[in-house]
Amino acid sequence: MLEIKNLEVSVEGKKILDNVSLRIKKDEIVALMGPNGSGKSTLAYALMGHPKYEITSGRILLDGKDITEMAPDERARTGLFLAFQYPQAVPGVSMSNFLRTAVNAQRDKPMPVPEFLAKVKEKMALLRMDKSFASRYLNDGFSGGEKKRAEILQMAMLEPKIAVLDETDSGTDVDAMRTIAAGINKVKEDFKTGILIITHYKRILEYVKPDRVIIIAKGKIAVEGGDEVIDMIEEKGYKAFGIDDYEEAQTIL
Amino acid sequence: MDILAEQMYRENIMDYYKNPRNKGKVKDADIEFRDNNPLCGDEIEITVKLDKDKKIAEIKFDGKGCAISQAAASMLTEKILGMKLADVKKIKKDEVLEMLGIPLQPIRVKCALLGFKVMEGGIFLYESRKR
Repeated sequence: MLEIKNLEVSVEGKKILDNVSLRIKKDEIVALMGPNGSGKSTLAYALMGHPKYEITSGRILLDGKDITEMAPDERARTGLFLAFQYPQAVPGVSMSNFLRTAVNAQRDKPMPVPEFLAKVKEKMALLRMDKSFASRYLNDGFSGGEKKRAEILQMAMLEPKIAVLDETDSGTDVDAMRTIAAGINKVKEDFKTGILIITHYKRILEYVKPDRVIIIAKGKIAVEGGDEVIDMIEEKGYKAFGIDDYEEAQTIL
Repeated sequence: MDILAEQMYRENIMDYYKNPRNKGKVKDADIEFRDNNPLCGDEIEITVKLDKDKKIAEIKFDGKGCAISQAAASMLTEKILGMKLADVKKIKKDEVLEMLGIPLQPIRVKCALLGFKVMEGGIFLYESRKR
């Protein structure tokens, strides 16, 4: 279980998240929605330990272990995973090399190649990825859909306890999105991963069914509910919840 | 062999070459042997410490040469650590080549088997001295 307790996060001295508390249990899907600039990605980055996002107060616990002060790699080893909204290209590092290094970083002894190979093939088939994918450089020249599949492939290989998926559906066509959704559901089913899915769209939530829906606005949790919340947003926008237009809301990159 | 498997085995070989496991020299070794490929200049030395049951308690390799020769020797040391000498002697060449996992040209097979050959030579020398 991931417990976020009274989290306050600043970027370059400006407070972005204010007193955010949230729990994501094992085997649970929580959808996080909210207008642009409301702090969704900030939460994702702060959870993973991005140095630019300063946690000024509050704690983050993973299975009771305080990870607030941990470096990102330690958080990953503890079982936290983040699928990036904008995955970075790393020319020179092949996908397969990257995956193997990531998987082995979590283990005492490296996974033998045949075992790794069988596993990666299974996950790539699930995500309908061509085998040639693995020899390409990480995210280098990948299409939007390929990048997001690659993120989910990493998740499937790392078997995290908690996964934060930051707009994994954006930039994907409907077929890629369905494939990605199937991948997410399989990981949850196989490893009882708790999932925080950040999205703007109802569509992915039709395939990855959330147990709870949370709306964040102006850096605070504004609404918590079920499917009815998603329908309301889709129909009437965030105004339905008394959340004004956030045109002027500072967009955080 | 599919492209994915080949890619991974290649990367695995490079990983062993760049981050060799069990590289160095065992102190007060029971088995100590070295050999080279005169044609390509690969060199391997293997040192082994045995326990009282003739099991490999400690093993290290040292040497220089191509990635295949060094990686294969390193993999071999990992494979046979903790094994009885009698069982090590049963290992076939093909098993060593399988660890590398990629098809090799005949000239490279010699590189791949250098560590294996050194180990065979070391065991032979050790056992003939005992007699």
